[in-house]
Amino acid sequence: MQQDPVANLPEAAGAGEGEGGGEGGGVVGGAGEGGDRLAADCLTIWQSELAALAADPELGELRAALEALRPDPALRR
Amino acid sequence: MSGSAEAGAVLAGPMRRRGPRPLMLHLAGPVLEAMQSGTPAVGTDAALLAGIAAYRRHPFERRLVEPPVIWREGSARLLDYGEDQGAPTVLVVPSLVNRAHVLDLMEGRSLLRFLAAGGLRPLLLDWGWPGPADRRLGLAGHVERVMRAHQAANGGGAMLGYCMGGLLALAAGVLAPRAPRGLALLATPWDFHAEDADEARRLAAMLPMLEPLMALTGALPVDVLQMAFALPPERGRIAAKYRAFGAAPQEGAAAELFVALEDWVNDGVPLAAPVARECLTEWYGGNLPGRGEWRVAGQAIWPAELKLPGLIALPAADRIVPPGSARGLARAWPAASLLEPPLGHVGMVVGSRAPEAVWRPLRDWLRALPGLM
Repeated sequence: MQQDPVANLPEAAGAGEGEGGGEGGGVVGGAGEGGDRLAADCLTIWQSELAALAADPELGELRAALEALRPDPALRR
Repeated sequence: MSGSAEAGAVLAGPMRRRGPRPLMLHLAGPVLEAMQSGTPAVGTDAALLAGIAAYRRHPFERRLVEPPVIWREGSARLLDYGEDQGAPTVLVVPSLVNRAHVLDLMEGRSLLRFLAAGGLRPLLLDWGWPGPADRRLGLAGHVERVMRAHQAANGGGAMLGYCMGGLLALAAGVLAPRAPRGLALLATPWDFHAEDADEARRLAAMLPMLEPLMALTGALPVDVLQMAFALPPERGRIAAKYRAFGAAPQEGAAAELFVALEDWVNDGVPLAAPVARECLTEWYGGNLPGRGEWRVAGQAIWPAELKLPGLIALPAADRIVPPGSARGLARAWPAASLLEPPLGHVGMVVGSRAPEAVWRPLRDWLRALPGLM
């Protein structure tokens, strides 16, 4: 019902529609200083994502719910 | 933090937050779309990754002090923003799928604190993170909760609903034994088939696929809701704004507003399964409100029969609640005053033009309600 606020808020960080390049903008080959920075960003983003997932209360709920399910032996293979 | 230290933290500091969610959709989306369209090559989107990294590293923290809690029920709390306990109350009902604090986002961007400074006593119904009992409630159960919160707020004030909260407030206004003095509805959907009925029906048709997921925890998970709002073309717009953020100065008010808003967007809450079912079948699938057939607890919710002053604020650039949907509400309640700010769904409550275009007219309308002040 409600999301993506800045898309409706063009004054925020120059983040209005049509700014910042189109789809696929900023494509790089991955070499040199820019490539190192890109690789470091990518790695750190995923590390932070995994840390966030580990602390996610909703995933904790899902894990508990799954553990409470009785496995069907016929589905083990 | 000094300017140079802050800049260093932005470039290389720890990542403090999550978003955009779900990350995999935002990173893999272009690849999937290229495969679907037969586009041969998709490279690494360095600008998008830089924007996501900059957002996650940004040092901004929301520091507003939460006001006192004056009532609780389940996970819901009533937060008292009033500066004067004797001021007339305005019960504020936000959506169920996002945190309530978008109405109190940050200093200078708080509709609630603005109304309080204007001699009103806003009481925010913060739905909170739904617990097991909350997840058993359907729309009627949530409307009853709004009515009890109205009662807890002395039952004599006005009501204000935002987005989905507008529908809950409207139903509570119809059903409450003691009607509010007035009802303001901001960006509230009504005619779900007004602009793209097929799209609405497609959304409703997803329900059988969601049932097994909801059976596990009794709620529709946050990331599923986030996915629904990040489907093309919206995913492309989200990517564009992150790219722009990564290339923009990381210090200053504009960057902090971006981070505050993205923090709010990415800090969603699960939606109780009974509510998700009703929204998908009765609203998106059947368009019962738009057809004048929506019933809550057996009673028809038909705004034209309301005998109280109404204000409908319909943001003309809304992409979340299409203006045609909200315009259906204005047609169904012709006696209500109409405000049409040239703003978006969230811009209407936190944007730089919101005070002039929405906050002040809303405050003045509330203050002029007969018997309120």
